Amino acid sequence: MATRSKLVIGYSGSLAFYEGAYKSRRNGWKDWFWTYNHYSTDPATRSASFLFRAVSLLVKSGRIQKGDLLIDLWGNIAPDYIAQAAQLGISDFIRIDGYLSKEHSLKRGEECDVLFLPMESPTALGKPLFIPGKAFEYMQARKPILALSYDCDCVDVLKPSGLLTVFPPDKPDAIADWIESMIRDEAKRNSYKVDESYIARYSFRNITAQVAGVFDELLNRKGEH
Amino acid sequence: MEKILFVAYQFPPRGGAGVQRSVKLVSHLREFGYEPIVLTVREEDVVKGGYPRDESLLLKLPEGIKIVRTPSYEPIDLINKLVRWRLFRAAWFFCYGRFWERSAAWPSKVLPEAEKLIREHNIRLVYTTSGPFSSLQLGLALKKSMGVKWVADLRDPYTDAYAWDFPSKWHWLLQRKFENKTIPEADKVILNTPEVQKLFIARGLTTSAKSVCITNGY
Repeated sequence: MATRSKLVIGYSGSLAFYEGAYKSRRNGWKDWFWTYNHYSTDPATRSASFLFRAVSLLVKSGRIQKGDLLIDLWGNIAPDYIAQAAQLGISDFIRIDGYLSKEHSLKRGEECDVLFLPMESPTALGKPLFIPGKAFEYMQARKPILALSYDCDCVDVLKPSGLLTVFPPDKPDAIADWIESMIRDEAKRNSYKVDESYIARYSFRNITAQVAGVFDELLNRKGEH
Repeated sequence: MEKILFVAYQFPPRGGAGVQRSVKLVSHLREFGYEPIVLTVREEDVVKGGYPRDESLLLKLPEGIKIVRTPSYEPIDLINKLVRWRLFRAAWFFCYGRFWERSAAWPSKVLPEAEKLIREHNIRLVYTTSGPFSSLQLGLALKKSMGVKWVADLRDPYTDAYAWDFPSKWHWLLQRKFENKTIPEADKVILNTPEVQKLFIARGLTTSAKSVCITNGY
């Protein structure tokens, strides 16, 4: 039976492959005749590459060994990450699997120590427009969340929960130091002060109450139930 | 119990991120006095479309929820042929109205069925969840033909987001016009991040009175 790694950092969902900094795909006049994408935000940081780079720093400097860490990614994960892990020499620390049912995905998330949340970055056109649904599931799991992000709504939502640690994606040294500290210091993993009343706000019963409130307003049914 | 028409093209047994909000809303709406009648696509079309399946989500729905399933009208066979003949890009460019979303034909095809449901169940409110964004057409058509209130829930922004490809910038501008024509017609627009709400108000697609930010949850 395989031994569990000391620290498991998990991610479920879709991850397209982006390596390094975002390069504009704008082609000038070609935009008018060929595929156009409105890059209002920079998707390149919504990637595992930055985390991989931090792991690579730890491995190359001998600060972690096999069995210390597992980066567990499942869902619609771009296969390029397998090649990237091999190229960085960190394949032993990475597990990539395909799509799982919601039930199985949540169970697998429960087995992780830390949940990983890479986010898009702002551009001149604006701030990131998405708060992924998993951000709320992460809160529900009440596990430490490692977000690689700049300023965005998602960080604003997660911060008050007490579970969030956030790094700019381009600081692999800081990310590596944090991962190492989480491996070495088990107490640190349990030291997060969770704000239960804040997290409860995001239960879907409360979300449905807000949607029902919209229906009430339009149908003049306020106070009928 | 007030019945509402809950239009969710993406619904279990289809799995994935796009169905979670609908499943959870449908699961709780009865507690707030609303009986959702779900209008969605057939199970076999989920399979044919090659979408992820998650049967476990069906078990999360409350007992007795009425789910009306229609064909998806996705031109899968035609798309496959066009791809094989290397003509899809041209078709996408020149016949964008047919290919802008796989579900592009669904709103007009299911409109009579939706109208029938509204009449049979004395429905006063239609809720649409997007993507797909073609569902906005159905919401607008029902508002016009049946005089119902229409709530458009946008789980994601459309032309403002990088997540969607357009055949060219002309087509992107065309879809901006589509947004300008449909979204302001909704009686209430639900947006799921404060940033998107700000953006939509700035674009004149809605106002602070006609929109509300309701995030996702767990």
